[in-house]
Amino acid sequence: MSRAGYADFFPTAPSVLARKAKDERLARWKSTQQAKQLQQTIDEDHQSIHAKDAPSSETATSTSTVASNASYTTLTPATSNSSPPAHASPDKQSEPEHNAKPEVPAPVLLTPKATPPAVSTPPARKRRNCRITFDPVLEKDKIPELGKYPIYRWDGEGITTPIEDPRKQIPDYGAAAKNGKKQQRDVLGRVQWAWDANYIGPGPPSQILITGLSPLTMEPEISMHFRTFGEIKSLTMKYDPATGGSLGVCSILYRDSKSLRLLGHQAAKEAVARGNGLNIGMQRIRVTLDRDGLKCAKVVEGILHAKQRKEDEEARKREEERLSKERASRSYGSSDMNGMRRDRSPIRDHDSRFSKPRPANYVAYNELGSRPAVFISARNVPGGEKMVRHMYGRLRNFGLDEILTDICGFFVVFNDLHGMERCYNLCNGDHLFSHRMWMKPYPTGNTGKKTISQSQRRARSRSRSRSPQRSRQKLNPVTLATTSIIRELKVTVLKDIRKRVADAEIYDLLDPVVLAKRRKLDTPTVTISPAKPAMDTIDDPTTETKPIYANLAALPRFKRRVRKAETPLSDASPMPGSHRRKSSIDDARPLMHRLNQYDADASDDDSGIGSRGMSTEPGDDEVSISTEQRLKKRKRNMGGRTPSRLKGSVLSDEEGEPVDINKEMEDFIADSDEEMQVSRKRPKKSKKPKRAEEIIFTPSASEDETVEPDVKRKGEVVPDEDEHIDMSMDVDEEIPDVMEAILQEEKKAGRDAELLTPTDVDLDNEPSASVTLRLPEKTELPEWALSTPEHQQPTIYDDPTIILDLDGLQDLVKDDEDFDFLRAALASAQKGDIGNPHAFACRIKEIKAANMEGEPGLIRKKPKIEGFYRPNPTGCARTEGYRRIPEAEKSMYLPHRLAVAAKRADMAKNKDSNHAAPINTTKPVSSSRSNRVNNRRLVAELNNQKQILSGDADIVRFNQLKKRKKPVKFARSAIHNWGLYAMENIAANDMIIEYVGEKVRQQVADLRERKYLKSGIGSSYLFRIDENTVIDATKHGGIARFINHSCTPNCTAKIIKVEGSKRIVIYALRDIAENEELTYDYKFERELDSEERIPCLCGSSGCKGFLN
Amino acid sequence: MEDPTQNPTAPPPPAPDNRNTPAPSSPPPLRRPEYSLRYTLKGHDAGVSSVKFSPDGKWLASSSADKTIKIWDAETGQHEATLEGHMAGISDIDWSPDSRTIVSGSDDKTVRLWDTATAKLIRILRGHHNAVYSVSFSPRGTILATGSYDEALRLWDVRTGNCMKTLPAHSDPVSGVHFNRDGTMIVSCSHDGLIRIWDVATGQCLRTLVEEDHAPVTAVKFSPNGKYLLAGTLDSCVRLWDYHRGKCLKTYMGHENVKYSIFSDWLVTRGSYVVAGSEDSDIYLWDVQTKEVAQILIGHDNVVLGVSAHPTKDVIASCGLDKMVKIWIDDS
Repeated sequence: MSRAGYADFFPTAPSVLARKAKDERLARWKSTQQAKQLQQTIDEDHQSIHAKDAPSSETATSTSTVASNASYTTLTPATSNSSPPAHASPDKQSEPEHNAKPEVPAPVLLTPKATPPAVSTPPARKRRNCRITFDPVLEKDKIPELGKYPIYRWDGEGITTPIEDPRKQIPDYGAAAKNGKKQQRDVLGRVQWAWDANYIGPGPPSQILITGLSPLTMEPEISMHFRTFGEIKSLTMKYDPATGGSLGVCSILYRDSKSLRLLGHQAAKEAVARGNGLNIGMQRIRVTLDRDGLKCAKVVEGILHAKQRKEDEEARKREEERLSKERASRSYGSSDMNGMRRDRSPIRDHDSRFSKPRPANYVAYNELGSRPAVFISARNVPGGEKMVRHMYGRLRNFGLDEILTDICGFFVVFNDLHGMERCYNLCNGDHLFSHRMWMKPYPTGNTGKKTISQSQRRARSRSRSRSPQRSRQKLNPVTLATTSIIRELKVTVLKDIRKRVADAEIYDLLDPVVLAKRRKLDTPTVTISPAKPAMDTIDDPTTETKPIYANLAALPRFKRRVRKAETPLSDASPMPGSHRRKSSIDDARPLMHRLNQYDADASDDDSGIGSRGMSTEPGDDEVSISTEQRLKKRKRNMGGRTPSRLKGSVLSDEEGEPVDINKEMEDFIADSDEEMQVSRKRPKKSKKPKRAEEIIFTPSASEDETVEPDVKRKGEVVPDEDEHIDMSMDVDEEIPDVMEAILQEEKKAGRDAELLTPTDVDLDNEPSASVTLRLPEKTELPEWALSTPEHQQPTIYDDPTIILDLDGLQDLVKDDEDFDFLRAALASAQKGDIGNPHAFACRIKEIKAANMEGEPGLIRKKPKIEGFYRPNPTGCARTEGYRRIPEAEKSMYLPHRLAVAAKRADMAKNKDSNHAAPINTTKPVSSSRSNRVNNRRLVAELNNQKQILSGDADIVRFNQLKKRKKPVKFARSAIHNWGLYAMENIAANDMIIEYVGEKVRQQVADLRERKYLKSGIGSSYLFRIDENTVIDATKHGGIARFINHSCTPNCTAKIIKVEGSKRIVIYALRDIAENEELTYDYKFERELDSEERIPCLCGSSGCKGFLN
Repeated sequence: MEDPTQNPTAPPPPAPDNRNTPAPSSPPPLRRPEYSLRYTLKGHDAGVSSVKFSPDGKWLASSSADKTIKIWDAETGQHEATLEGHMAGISDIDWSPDSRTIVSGSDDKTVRLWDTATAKLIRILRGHHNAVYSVSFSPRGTILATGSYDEALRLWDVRTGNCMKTLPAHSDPVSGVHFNRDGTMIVSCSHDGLIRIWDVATGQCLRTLVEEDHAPVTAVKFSPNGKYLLAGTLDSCVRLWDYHRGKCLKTYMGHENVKYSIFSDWLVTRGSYVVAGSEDSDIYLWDVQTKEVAQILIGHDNVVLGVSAHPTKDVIASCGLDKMVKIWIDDS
């Protein structure tokens, strides 16, 4: 210390002395170790020094002393430079010597050269870090030998154990500090890029693989489960190619769906996430992503392989058994074998013998025994197990017992020597595929004996035969079971095949188009004669009552009924085509009844008639056919118009079309005829007297002449196809529109009319009845003729229902003449500037389409604003300004009120028609009686508890009335803003809810009333209990405050006493249905002369008009 | 009217402004606005119910009772496009935050979304049972709020066009809706005098502000910093509400408003003002803090129904029953 301090001035002060003593002690304690170190270094020094020159010794010594001195100052204060460094032991120091020189000798002569290299003393520096190793204050007199003074450890000296950061011991040390902040990563994270348009490589997979399905699961079921995740592009169940059975593996490919806004791979991901582990039926399925179907293929392959292997094994086993049995049977005099043979399972496979599991180091030779065998080296015939089969096949005839294979080759073991010899003689060197079987005979197996006795042989064979016998005996019930199962399976499989495959085939065969084609092949001559159209307005009852069939017919050929029609009529066979059909049907006869069942069920559902559908069928068939014919007829009409008045360009189209159409029509009619005919048979069977007419109609080649209905039918006009540019479009778009209309027309016109003449198709043999076409009496055939001067017909009938906007006008005007008329008609109208007419037209049409919700084209009703619409004179509501809307007007558009009104109307209607809709008074969940009992019990218990507590009675403040509350909810009300509704049926005189609020005195209530009025709260929530108290629920209260007033209420308020205090309770006056609004009579004072009478909005029949 | 917060020496209370006024020292006295009429845009055949500047400042859209919406260039006043298709007059329009879509609500009960680039209809949203009175886009452009005469407030998903929520908001026609800055709250006002604040996510009503006399509230708007509301009522007042505390802070008067729903807007490009139209054909500008009338713009012939402030420039657009749209610019 450079500064002179207290210690200098008062060296004998006790504190100074104490300090010195402490220092000394510390120094002593440290120096023991230091000394040791120093000792070593100094010894080294010494040696080095002595090794060196003498003159340096001085310096060496000095340095060493200095070094020793330098070490922590107090080490050797007393020792002078001349003290021998070796004995720089601090023990010799004495306390008094301390006094002399407490300080470090100032100059530190450390010449760098003389510094011995080994010594690495720390430079003299200030002591900074200290730790108290012994604190006398804390350890009061525990370790008295250390004295009364604290011991420090400076600068961490003396610590030998490696120092470790104690924070590391603490788990999650930095976690708290890191919360919410960025973590420094020690591992370089992998960046995952989301898949987007810039991604190179295949996109994420949209295909999933489902495994673990039960073989009975069908595609629709799976589809149903997985449809929810996205749009399925393809769903393929994997089947076993050999058996056709399901493998329980399915792969689904999802497509990108715009409607669901889901990309395929997203759907696939979702499917995997949600579908994996799903249970379908009894199976737990596994779903995985499957890029490009590779996994699926692998899985399928795996399964098939497994199957194959199993099969092979089984086959081998069976073969082995069979062989062993055979062998046994072949042996002499084994009567047991014969008996056994009877029980033997008929199916035995060669292969089973060859799949015996063999150990790796199996040596076939050892198993030979003394049986005669022939060895074929593996060098000659490689292949191991696989070859065995073939070899067996080859050498079978020589009495082969078995073939033992190992890596060396094959040992073909024979039953007897003779066989072996024969084989050897005949087959040695024979070709087995590309190999030659070079054989080496082992007549006595591996025993080396030349021959074996027959008896031995016999015994051996017998023993061998017996064991399989025994095992076979054991297996008997199993084999029996298997055989019977297999037999049954065969039957079911056949049935199934018939049902699925044959039926589908038959179904397809019955397709009229196909049929027609086939018939055409058979019957080239089809004479067609014109017939009369029936054009009067005739209503066919069947058609009108079943409009759905019109739509059905629009679907592609739903022909089951027709087929059904055919089946029972095996006796009537009008046409070869149907013959053919019939025959195929006959083949599948046993299943037909099942088909019938299906059909019947379907038709029952559709027609709603209880019968087996026979009565409805004809109608259905007629309907279905007629709609097709109707379509045809439209086309006919199109073709039939006189082209004379039309423009040249259009003519070609027309001419082109009719021809084709006719041809098509022929086909069509041919088809339909047949069906018609066949269907007719059914009505005949049902003996419908009505259908007596026989109508024959065939289209004529002269159809391109005008074909028009004679009589103008009201409301069933064939909409004129535009011969103009949008011809095709109209046809398509009008089909749905016009279906209904045309349907009826066609019905009458000639649905039945188009039929082939019986003569054409070898029907002569048939009883005419079968061919007779029964039709409703009222129908007439369409009459086809030219327009004559006396009998003028317009070629075009305008549809008056089309609105004449731009589209309508375009449709209306068919040629120049029309256009001139239009121009004349509109001459009086003002001309406006529309700019580019095309653009204008486009725009107009677009707007119209948008307003008509997307359907461009002709419209039949103007786009108007649906529902309530009050046009504002200035144009829009905002320019109109503020207007107070009366409640009556509000009731016309507010949805809630409309609903309420509708319900009221319904109720009124029901009341009128005597359908007293009884309010469903199903008992609430717990009867009121049980409620009361429970309540009483609860109250009693609570009281007991209160007594026990006997001091804190207020803690358990229990409002019993809450227990009796019924479930109610508040919602928007038609009466006023918000109201209370019952959530379940409430019986009459049941307590519903208590009117809870602040209990205030009369005067307070008056004050509050005024205050509320001033602050704008128009509604009053003050309820009087008695003369002096009022319940105020304005700011604090229960939901009973939402109950509205009605002049014919369904609730009433009563005041009851509960636990000594008066409460307001709402009871039901009558049975209240679920979701009915609760109302009661407010019983306001009548203020007949007040200007501020509150109008009543309850809307009930007995409404007084005002609340007060 | 006493404003207890006003103190000439002390710095003014924080402006309802997204710019932070320097707090410690007193702000430099802002010059009064000097707007002058620049363009008059004619073209509508019936009263113009609403004008709005696009958020990117390039366009001005005006809706009218003649069933059309016209888009004008904000700089030059050129007529850009006309959007037709509504079957009845249009009461309100709004721009999407990316300035690419306009939504319009009309008397025909439909809300239509238009693409401004192609001037074509994107979608029709149906659902309201009476005239749609006011529309507002959320700041993210994903949700649309519409208020209608059928007392309901509907929230629509813009992308799909589905109505997400129908809130039984009021018991009288809903006259104004507006989203706040971050799209979490909607304020709606109605002719029953209530101003209600709704949480968008849940549809809960968070707050109801009501003035004593229940004067019909005809327009409501959040302040740019989302802390205050500006509400116009049919008692010729425009009020500034602090809806957190439920208190009305400022009332701006001087104009006339007893019948029509007149829009009011914030003018914050230079100083902070409130601008609103009036039934006396003038446009009033008030200083937000002092509530003084800073300027009166004269030019219209009939009730000024709507005003809109340009997002970045000192430009105001106004429209009225005189079928004209006027653009005012402050040049100085």
